[in-house]
Amino acid sequence: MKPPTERYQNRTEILQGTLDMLILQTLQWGPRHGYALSKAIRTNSGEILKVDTGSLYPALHRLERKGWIAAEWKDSELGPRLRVYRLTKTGRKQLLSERSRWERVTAAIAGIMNPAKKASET
Amino acid sequence: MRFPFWRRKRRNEELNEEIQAHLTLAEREEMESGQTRKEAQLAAHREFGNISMAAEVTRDMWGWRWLADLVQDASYGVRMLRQSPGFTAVAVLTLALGIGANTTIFSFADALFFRPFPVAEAGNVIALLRQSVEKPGNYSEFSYPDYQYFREQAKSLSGLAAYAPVSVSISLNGEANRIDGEIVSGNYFSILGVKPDLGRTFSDEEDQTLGSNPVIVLSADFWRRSFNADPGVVGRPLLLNGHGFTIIGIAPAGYRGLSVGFSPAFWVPLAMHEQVMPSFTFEGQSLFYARGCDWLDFVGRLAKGSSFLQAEAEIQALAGREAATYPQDRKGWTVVVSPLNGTRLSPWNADMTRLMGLLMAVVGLVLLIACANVAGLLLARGSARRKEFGIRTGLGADRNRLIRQLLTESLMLSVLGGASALLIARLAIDSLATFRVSGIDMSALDVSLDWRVLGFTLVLAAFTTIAFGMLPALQTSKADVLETIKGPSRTMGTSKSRLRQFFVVSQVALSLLLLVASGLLLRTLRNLVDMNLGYDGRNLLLVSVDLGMENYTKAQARQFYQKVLEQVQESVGVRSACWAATAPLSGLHIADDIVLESGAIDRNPRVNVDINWVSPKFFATLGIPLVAGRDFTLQDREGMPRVAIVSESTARRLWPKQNPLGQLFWMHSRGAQPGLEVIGVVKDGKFYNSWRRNTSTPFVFLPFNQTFQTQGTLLARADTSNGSLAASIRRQVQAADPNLPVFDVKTFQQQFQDGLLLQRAGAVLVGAFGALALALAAVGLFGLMACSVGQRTHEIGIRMALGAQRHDTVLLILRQGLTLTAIGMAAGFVGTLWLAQFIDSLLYGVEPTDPLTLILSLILLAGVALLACYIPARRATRVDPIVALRHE
Repeated sequence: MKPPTERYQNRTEILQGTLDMLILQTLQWGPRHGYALSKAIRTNSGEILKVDTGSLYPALHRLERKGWIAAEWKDSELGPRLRVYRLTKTGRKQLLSERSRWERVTAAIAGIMNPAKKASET
Repeated sequence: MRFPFWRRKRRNEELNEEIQAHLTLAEREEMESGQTRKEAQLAAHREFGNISMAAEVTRDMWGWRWLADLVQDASYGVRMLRQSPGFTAVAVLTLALGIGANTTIFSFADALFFRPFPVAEAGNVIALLRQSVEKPGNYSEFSYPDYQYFREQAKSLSGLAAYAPVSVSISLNGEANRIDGEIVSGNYFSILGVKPDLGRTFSDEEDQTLGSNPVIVLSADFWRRSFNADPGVVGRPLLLNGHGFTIIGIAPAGYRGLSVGFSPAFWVPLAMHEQVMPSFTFEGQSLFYARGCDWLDFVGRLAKGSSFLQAEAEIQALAGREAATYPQDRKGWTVVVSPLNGTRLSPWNADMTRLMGLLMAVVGLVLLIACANVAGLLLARGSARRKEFGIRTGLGADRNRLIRQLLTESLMLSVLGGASALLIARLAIDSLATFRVSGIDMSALDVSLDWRVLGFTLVLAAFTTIAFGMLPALQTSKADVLETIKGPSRTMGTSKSRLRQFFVVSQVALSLLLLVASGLLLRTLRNLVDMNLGYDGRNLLLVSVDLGMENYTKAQARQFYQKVLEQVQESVGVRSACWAATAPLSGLHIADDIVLESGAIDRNPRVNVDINWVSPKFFATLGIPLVAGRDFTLQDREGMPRVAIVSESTARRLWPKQNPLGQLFWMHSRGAQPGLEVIGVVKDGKFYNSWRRNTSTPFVFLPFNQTFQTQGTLLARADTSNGSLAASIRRQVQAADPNLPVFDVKTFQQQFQDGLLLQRAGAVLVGAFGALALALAAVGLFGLMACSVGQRTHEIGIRMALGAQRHDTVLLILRQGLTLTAIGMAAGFVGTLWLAQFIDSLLYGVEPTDPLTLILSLILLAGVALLACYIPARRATRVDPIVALRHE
């Protein structure tokens, strides 16, 4: 039997780069707690991207360690105390650089996927 | 943000709270969309996935996971080790012996070969060696004119110092003692950058004029030993050979000169050599002017900006120019440069180097055996713990984590082993340090458990962790969940047991190597002890004096020798006595070139002969038969015709097919002096300075009374082995001159045994390591077989139920164990062929492939293996088929 962790880690690897960016991008619109964050990503992607909560919390804590987001506990009218994350200044910078990298990559992929179109444009 | 370790717990609670909040919100939303509470809960959980895993991975992000794991692994480890104290004790003891042997040998090797001398910037200090062009293994010292030449000419050196060992008579507490020290150039201390602990060292001016500056620097050891470390001694006078010297300083503690194993007690300037070494003259010339008289060692410091290679090139060019200018003294010699460490052991200690090399290889093998043994134990325990690991894997522990935990346990074992090894090494070093080996006084060696040795032990412990822990960890961590649940399998042929078999086979092979090595060394020792000397070495007493220390004249010396000899000869219990310049096998080598034709001496072929000057009755005292001619008599003294006695093989070689009696030869160094006539021939024997020299080396005896002998050894043949006789002879010599130090009072047997100490130490140590290896291999084999019997209980039960007899069962188990032993022996045999090339140079009278040694080793090993297998085999016969089968 294969140790389950291996399978799990493979999945985060694929998601890691983009998940970080998605979290930062979503937090740009205001502080959110973990559950709201996962819901926002799902809704904004038209229910296509479903964030695996098993990856979400590790990612949040990793970003917090890097200083890109900050967290604080807030009481909510819903009942439980919530840990609310917000974007920091360095996080904002990071988001910009991730976004430009992302755009470069998608443009490059698009170029490969649609070569004829690109040739006719030039 | 990295959380401090102590805040971990709170942080953990917060994480749980956060996850719980997430679940609560999700649940609430599901309920709002119309699900029941139960359904909502399930859906929320399903969506979240594995909660504990998400928590665990999140915790990983905090960066303290490794420490938490380590603490957990360590506490598991401690629990496991304490749970099976028997296993822990055996493993730790095995490792302690293996590592301890290495630590011990390394600490000696370090002191002998590796530890840098305590001089300033040791890397820039070099030694100069005069080397024979034809035989690069032959070295010689330098003369004082050489010193002046190289010191002035060598521009690549910022300074050149010279030194030589000396022995002087120093009176301490009213008793004359012979003390070893060094005579050094005035710049010796300043070039080495050795600063005195007290007072000062020499200045260059103190070394310019012969006999003008009687000053002395004491070593810290000598100062502590003989002056109770009294700081007031600086400035006080001290009598050396009857000459007044002034103590000017104390060398730093820990500075013991540049020759390992020789600790000078003092240093004096070269210009005082006539007082310090009066008996040392060269053809009537002062040593300051004799170019052909080689007695000094050179050490220099590289000038700023010049490299080792530059210095080497310059020194060699200078040596070439010197050889061209003074061909009669320097032809055929060049000078090479060596790092200071390269000259710490004199070349004639090659035996020591070889022995240490062998010992290091041997302890390395012992450590490998110990590792194989512990690895086998770990594997056996691994099978016992299969269930534990299966369950842990089932609960989600990943394999790396299991390997890490097993390695942590291994590390704890080797740390415990390493710590115990230091204790063992401490004891071993203390007992070995009392050895005194030809030319190397072990107690003069600075063998200690310093940080270098500690570091070595640490590295070894880490190495052993990997060596014995890795394979078992990889094997054991392959726990199979299914197998755990189903129950253990009953087959034997898994890769795990094959690995254990491999460990046992390699232990057997390595032990065979060590057994053969120790067998060969023991036989060598035996051959040496039983060596035919050509004379009777029993009940022979030796007492030595150096009249040069008390400035005896020729006439005084003759009178002293005569008086002492007469007294000793008349003593009760003495059968006969004589004087000789040196006793056989004393280590003191006297040799010279002779020529067989007079006249143009330089053109005639020279023959190098070993020489001893002996008084009448020397041959009778030792029991050497005279084959032809006569013994020396008291008439063979100065002014009478010069005579000589040669050994049989010398006569055969120099005057083949002629009557040697009446033949003449000339000493090369004495020039045109009258020739020496051969008046007697004696049977061959070990007359040489060392048992190593072959009896075919030419040997010439000259009359003790015909030349002025400043050093003499009295040989007295006693009726019985009477211990008190030595003391009484010593008293008689002492009574003849109370100021004269009497030294080397011992029996010939003692001297002979001393000369064999290195061989003895080698045989004893390698033998002990061989026995250790054998014991470890036996334990390993026993462990494997016992475990195998345990695993095959079921099978044996079936066999017995089907009618197998007791002896069938015994054979079944024995066959398995002895097959492994045989494979190990075959591998070990191949190893002995490889061993041969290393051990050959240490053997005497026995071939490295000696069949008898090999056969005896094989029999011993087979016997021990049989015993190690028989005990588990016996246990197998006690298997009760009913119980074994009911075990289902």
